[in-house]
Amino acid sequence: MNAPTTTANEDLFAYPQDRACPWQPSPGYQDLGRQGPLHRVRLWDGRWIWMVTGHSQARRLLADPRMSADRSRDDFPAVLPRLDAPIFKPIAIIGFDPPVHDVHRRLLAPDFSLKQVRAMRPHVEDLARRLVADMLRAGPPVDLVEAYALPIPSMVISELLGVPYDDHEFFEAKTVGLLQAKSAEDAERAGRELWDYLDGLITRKEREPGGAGVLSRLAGEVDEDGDLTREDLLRIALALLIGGHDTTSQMIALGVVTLLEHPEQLAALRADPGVLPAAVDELLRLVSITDVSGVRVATEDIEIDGEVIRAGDGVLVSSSMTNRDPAVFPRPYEFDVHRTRGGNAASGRQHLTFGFGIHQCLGQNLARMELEVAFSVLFEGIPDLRLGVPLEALPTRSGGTMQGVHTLPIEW
Amino acid sequence: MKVTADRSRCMAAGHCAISAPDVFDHGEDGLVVVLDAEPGEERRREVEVAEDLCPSRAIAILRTAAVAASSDAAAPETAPAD
Repeated sequence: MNAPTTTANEDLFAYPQDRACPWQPSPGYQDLGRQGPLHRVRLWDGRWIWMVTGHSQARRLLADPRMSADRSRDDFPAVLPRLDAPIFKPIAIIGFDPPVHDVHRRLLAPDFSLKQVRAMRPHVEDLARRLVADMLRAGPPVDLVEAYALPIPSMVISELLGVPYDDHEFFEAKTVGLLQAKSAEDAERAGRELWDYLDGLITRKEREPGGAGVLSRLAGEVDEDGDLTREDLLRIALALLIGGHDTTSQMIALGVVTLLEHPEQLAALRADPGVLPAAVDELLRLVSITDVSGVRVATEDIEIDGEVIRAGDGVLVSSSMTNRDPAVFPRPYEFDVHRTRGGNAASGRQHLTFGFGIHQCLGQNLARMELEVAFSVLFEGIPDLRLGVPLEALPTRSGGTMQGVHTLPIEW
Repeated sequence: MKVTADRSRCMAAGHCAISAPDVFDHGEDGLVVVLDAEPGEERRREVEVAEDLCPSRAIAILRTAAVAASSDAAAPETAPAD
C-alpha cells in the first residue's frame, strides 16, 4: 500500500474534478483519457490510486477475482471524505467479496429479474402519466426533479422493498444527506438516521409477517447462524433504498437535459419509438451518472498493459472515460441514439455505467425500464417541453462523483 | 455452435436473455437457463453479444478446434495436439 500522505503525490492529477458540461466528463479527465488507459491520481487524503480510462483494461480488472471490493479492508481507498464514514464499511453486496456477496446477491436476484421488471412496467407507466397530469395541472414553471424525476424511482423502490412511500421525504432527504455529505461525520449522521428508520421498519415486519415487498420476505428468512443475519438484512435494506432512487432520478433529470440540448436526437427518438431502449443505453453511456464503474483494491500484484498494479494499490474505474474509449465507441463524445443500428440492439450495453464483473448493478434492468418509461411518457405528455433556465444556469452538483442537479426548472 | 451457461457464476444481469432470447432465459430464481444448447449459425452474432456482455463470465461458446485450412495455421511452430 502506498503511503497515505506523501508530498511526492502533490504533482498528481487531483480526483475528482467537476464537469463543465452536464453530459461530458470534466476537461481534466478528457486529457487523461488521451494519454493512455491507466493513470495515477491523488485523492483528498493525499493517497494515490490508479484511475482506469481504458474500456478493455477496466473490464479485465473489474472481472478479476484478485481485485477486492471489501470496504472493511484497511487498504480500501476512500475516494471521497464521506466514504470514510463507518456506515459505508461495510456496505451490503457491493462492498463484499465472494462468497458472502454471491449469497446475498442471489437472495435478491428474483426480485430484480427481467421478468419481474417487465411485469412492473404498466404500473410504472400509470405512475408516470399521473405525475405528468399533475405537472400539466400545476402549470409551468415546474421543478422536474421534485415533480417527476425523483417520485418515479422513489415510489418504485419503496413499493418493491415494502418501505412506506409516506416516509419518502425523510428517506430522500437522508439519502441526499448521505450521498452529498462533504465530511465523514455528516455522512455518518444521515446514514445512522436511515439505519434507525430501517431497523424500526424491519422490527414491524418481523412482528407482522406476510407484508408486501422484498424486505418483508427477507425478514422471514433471517437466521443468525445462516446466510442472512438481521444486520445483513439491515445493510441490504440500506443499500437498496439508497441505490434505488438517487441515481435513477438524477439519470432521468440529466437525460432530459441531454435530450433537450440535442433536438435532432430527440426528434429521432420521437420518430421511431423502437429506438427507445438503445437511446436509453446511449444516454446511460454518455451521461455516466455515477461517474464511477467501481472502486477496488488489488490483493495481489497484477500486470496489465505494461504496468504493475501492486497488492494494496487502490483502483478506480472511470465510467465516463471508459464509456468514451474510441476503440469501442467511435465518435465517443457524440450523442447518437442510432449508435447500435445494424448490430444487435443489446450491443449498446457495452458501456460500463452499471459496472462490470460480479458487482454489475443489481437494479440495472429496473433502471432501464424506469428510464424508458420516464422519457417516453414525459415527451409524449409535454411535447413542447423546454429548460426553464439557460443550460449554464442549472444548479449542478459539485465536489463529488455522483452527477446531478439540485433542481431542474422546466417550462412548456 | 454449442453454448453453455454456468449457473454457479451467474449474477442475473439478464444481458443474455435480451441479446439472444431464443437461446437464453432465466428461471424463477433469476438465474440463467439455456433454452437451446446448440443454436444455429444464424444466431452466432447474438450469442457472441451475450457472451461478451455477461459480466460474471457465465456464458461460453464452445469453439471446436478449427480445421487447419490456412498455411498460417499449418505452420511448423503450431504444436501438434496430443
